[in-house]
Amino acid sequence: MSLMEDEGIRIVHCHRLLLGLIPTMILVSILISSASAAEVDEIGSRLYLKRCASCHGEAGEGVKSEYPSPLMGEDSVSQLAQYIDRWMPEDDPDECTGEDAENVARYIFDAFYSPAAQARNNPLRPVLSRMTARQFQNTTADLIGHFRPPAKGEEKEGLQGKYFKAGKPKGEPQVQRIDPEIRFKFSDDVALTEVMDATGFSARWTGSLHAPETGLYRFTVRTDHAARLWVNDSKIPLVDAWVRSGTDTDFSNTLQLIGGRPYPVILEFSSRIQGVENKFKGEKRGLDGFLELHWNLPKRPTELIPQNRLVSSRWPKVFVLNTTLPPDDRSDGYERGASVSKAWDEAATEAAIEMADYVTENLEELAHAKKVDDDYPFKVRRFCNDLTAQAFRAPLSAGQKKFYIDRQFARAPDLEAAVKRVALLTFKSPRFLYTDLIDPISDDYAIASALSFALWDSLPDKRLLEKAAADELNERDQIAAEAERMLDDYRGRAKLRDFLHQWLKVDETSELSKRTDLFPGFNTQLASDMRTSLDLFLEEIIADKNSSFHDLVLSRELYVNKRLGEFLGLVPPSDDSFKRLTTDESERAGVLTHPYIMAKFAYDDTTSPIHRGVFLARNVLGRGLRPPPEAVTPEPPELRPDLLTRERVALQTEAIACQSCHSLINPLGFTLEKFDAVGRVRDNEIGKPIDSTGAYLLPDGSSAEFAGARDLAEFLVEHQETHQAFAVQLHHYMVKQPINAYGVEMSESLTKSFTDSKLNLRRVATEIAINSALAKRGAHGADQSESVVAARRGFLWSCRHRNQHHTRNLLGFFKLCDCRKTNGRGR
Amino acid sequence: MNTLQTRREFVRSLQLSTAALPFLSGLPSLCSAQANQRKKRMVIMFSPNGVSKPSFWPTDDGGKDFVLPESLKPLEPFRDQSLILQGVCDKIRGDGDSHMRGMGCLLTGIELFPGNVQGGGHTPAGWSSGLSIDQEITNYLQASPTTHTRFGSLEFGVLVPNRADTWTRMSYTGPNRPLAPISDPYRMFKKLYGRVEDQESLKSVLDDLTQELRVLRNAVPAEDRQILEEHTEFVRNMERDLEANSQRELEHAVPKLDPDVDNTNDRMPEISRMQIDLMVNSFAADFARTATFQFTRSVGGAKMRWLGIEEGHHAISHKPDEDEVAQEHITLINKWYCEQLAYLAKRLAETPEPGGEGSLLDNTLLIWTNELGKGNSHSLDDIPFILVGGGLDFAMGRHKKYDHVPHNRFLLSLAHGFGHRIETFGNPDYCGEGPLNLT
Repeated sequence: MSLMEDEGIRIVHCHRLLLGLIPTMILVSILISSASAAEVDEIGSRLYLKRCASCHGEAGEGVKSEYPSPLMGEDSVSQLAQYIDRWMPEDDPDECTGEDAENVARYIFDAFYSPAAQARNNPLRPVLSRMTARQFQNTTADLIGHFRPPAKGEEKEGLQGKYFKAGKPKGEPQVQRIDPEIRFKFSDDVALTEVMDATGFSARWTGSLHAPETGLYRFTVRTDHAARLWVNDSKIPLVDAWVRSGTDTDFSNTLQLIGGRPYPVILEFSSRIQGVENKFKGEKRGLDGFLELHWNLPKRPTELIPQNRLVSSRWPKVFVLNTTLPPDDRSDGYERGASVSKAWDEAATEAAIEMADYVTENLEELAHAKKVDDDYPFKVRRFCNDLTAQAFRAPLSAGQKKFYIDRQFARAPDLEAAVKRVALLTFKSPRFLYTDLIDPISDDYAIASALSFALWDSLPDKRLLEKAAADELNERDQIAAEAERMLDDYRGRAKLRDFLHQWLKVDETSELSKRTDLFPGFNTQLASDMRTSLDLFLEEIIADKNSSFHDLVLSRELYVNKRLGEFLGLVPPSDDSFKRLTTDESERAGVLTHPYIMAKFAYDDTTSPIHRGVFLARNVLGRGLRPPPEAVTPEPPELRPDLLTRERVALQTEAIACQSCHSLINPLGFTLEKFDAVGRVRDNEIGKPIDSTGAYLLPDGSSAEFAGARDLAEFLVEHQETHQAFAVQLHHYMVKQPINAYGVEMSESLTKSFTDSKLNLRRVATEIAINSALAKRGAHGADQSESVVAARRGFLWSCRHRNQHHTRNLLGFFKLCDCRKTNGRGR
Repeated sequence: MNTLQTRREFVRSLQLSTAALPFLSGLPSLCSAQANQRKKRMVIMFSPNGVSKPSFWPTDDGGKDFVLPESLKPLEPFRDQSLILQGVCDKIRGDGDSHMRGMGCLLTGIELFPGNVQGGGHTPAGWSSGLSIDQEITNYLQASPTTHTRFGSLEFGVLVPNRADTWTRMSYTGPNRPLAPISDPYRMFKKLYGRVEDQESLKSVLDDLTQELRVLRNAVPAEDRQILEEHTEFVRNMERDLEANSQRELEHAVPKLDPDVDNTNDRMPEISRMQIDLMVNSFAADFARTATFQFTRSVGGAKMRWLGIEEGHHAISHKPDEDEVAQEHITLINKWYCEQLAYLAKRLAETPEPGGEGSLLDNTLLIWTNELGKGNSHSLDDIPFILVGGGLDFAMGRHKKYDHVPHNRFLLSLAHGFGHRIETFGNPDYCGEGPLNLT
């Protein structure tokens, strides 16, 4: 494996000869200029045009036959000056030195070289983008979900269990209770044995389960009697072992689920004989049965479904798109939908057909109408109108209604064909497929859409559209209130969690494996426990609205179960459920030293200070790193058995060509050396004490020194680059547009607000969502004609026509509309 | 999962014109490569609750000069293409009552697992412990590229209740792996022709979509135009491919189903007819080489009001031999089932073998069977096996009487008829002297 082979490296434009630039630490500013800035630019400009432009172009754009790459990069003026002094012009490096080199450097830096100059010369704007795969999946789920009822029942951890004397779980239950998990040996269950007789009994559990990850789940029912399980579908059982046959006790099946959402679940059990009701009915079966409900998270080992993933309330079924969309472009470091491809168009077509089929197959349910009723055609048409409006995230204009609805109904041979046409045309329409083609009926819908895509990767919900319809998304505080609400929704939490996974580079679940001879006890179960431990911590951070970046990086808390606790040498809980412990390990520092992260950035036998250092430099500090000049195979420890990992890495990267990056990477990575390749704390390696000192070179040229991981973490939480890197990456993950597209100063102001909020995580996410929403303000013409108001009114009604408790607001809205008309208010 | 797979294939096939071939390979005009080899097909039709022996079995001792009794009268036009096998017995014992074993062992020839489903007598049982002969043969045919078809086998049902138990399943893909028949003709239609339907729907909106793309292209800022232009190009390509596809599509007609036939007892005759039409169409398109056709279930209680019979079939079948009305009703009921068999035979006989000789019936063997020999005794002796058609080159136009041969041997002869020369099938104890010689 080559170093950094797994890094998604972006190749930056870079002067061929700047690559070997001497590290900043030995650069000294050598010139003190007495000329004014304007004069410098004037002199620099003249010198540049005379000596440099023939190869680099008049505006640094490059000259094809000479030096084709544009002059742009991240070096400082003094770095540039030194370079020019020494090397430029190539044919006669002595021609431009000293003060001349300084003047040229200043000029090109200001005119086009620096990132600020680039942003000024080529102002970015948010580009028209289609939904990413994640957005597509969530959007289709919520679009169908819009037509389903809200969750029902009491919300408690566990499932609602009902126990019956009969062979089928029907009628009046004998026992009713919340069961925190499904793991029973019924003969030990006093509450049951007291009530039931020896001929057996039946039971039914209902509730929902929360799927943390997106992917293919495997559900396993273990029982020696009859059982069946429904997940996300109340009609066809996912696992059907109602007929007992032979001696198998494990019954399983797989199901694709979207992460971060609750799914309805029903489990039934019977220990009575089934079939013909006759003399055999009374045969003694006893209460000796067992029943367990397990799952495998995507690519993870089997485990009992833990209590914190079960909830007793009944959530509606979720539409899970089966069509697989191609992976999105991540060359900018985050997924975005700024391009289309044939593979994408094929998949989008396949998805449109899948959804159109689903809509027609579930028409009665979704349209809230019965085929036999007289008003069925009316209700179906109204449903089509709602569906398209919902898909387009705004009420349909009169023209759109005519085109998408009336025209399709007029041309189809029957009602079902009409629905299919409307659905296909809607789901293939760019108005659905692109996130920001909201019809310019008003800014409010564009704002609602920007908010929901930023916070949920999905459509606005009913409430948000109501706010848009009522013209209540104008003011910053109105938008902020919605953003805060949405961040607390399961979709908002899921998005933050997925971001943290990306930030920590654990978004692809690749299996951790370690050499069992070196790390006995480390197996797939333990690796999975480590991942669970990390996720529980992240979820705790996300759930608390006061959580800050400090908590993320400085916490001394670890979630462990018995197995993981013992492995890490902590005092473990007594069973396999996870408990939160505060460790007394002095070096632990939140996610930065979490066992899963430490084990992930390590080889199967030793740590990898380089992987750890690259993660710290790039993701935590936001430093751009170039790919290594050539693929390098790390030296196996066996060849240097006398060296510490630290020493071996230092030796291998000592060449000058390596040092331009590794002088940054290694001293960061070394601070984590007190965590071994499986995330345990250690003081020694090969019998020698660990040296976990490290350093980081600040932009101003001074150096920060660290005694170890904790020291580094305490530095990072106070350091501006860390704040900026986190905020900018979060912006990119949420908005999927470059931050400079929202103005050259956006990155700085966002960072400032993050720092000022004491690094509150929810606040920065809210701020990003608000900024992307506010960018929509004024983007559209302020068309407040009567037809627009009428269209809004109709849409609002359609949002609420099954939502009677909102009637009061509705009246308020009409009043508001009238005011608007008389005020002639526009933006 | 299946429909998805096909949908994906469909969309891909639109984009790659050469990849359209697998989708179309079932069409007659493209089958010339396989024309030299004769296609062989098999349909196993099931009806429940045994028969009334006097009106079902010919009275002779076997041979060509038999007279079709009342229950079998509808087969008169196909007398020379029929083979009536008498004296074949289901000898499988073990757990489960006769209805359960009659059903679960009928095509599998092997015992049921012990389980929790209690019948009207005997011990409770679960699913069959082996796969069924139709699936054994399907696996054999699917393994060879020359006999491979899109579905391999199709499981048709008529009013099979929507629950999975030992009485409702006769096909198995393996031990504990029952296969559910599709009782809803509209669902079967979707399975067979969903792709063509999708294609038609898609075609119908592409013009409008292109128009909308043009409107939007002009409405967005110039910088955003390019992505929509690329998008438009993909839509145009799809339209072209769809057009080309539909030209080829015309060569195979998609059947039209009567709309709004409910899945209810009284619509049984219409559902039966629709399923038969779909089956004949799918053979003409070579979607599959084997099919099962299951009326209701073991112990099925269809009320054949259209024959003037108000009582449920199962209840009638329990009545004693002396009850003349009951025997007459059983005769009428089985005659009605025989009419379905005859209608299937007729439709197959009318349809020329695409790219081959003769009619579909000349290359198809129909087998009508039952889980019991006789309802009121729950006997598994003399299980009806009424064969029609030339599919497996059996000598037809005969009444053949055996002396209590195990039905495993008949199942073996079906495999051998397809050239699949297995030595035993199901429980080997009942495979004694190998397949029955029916040629």
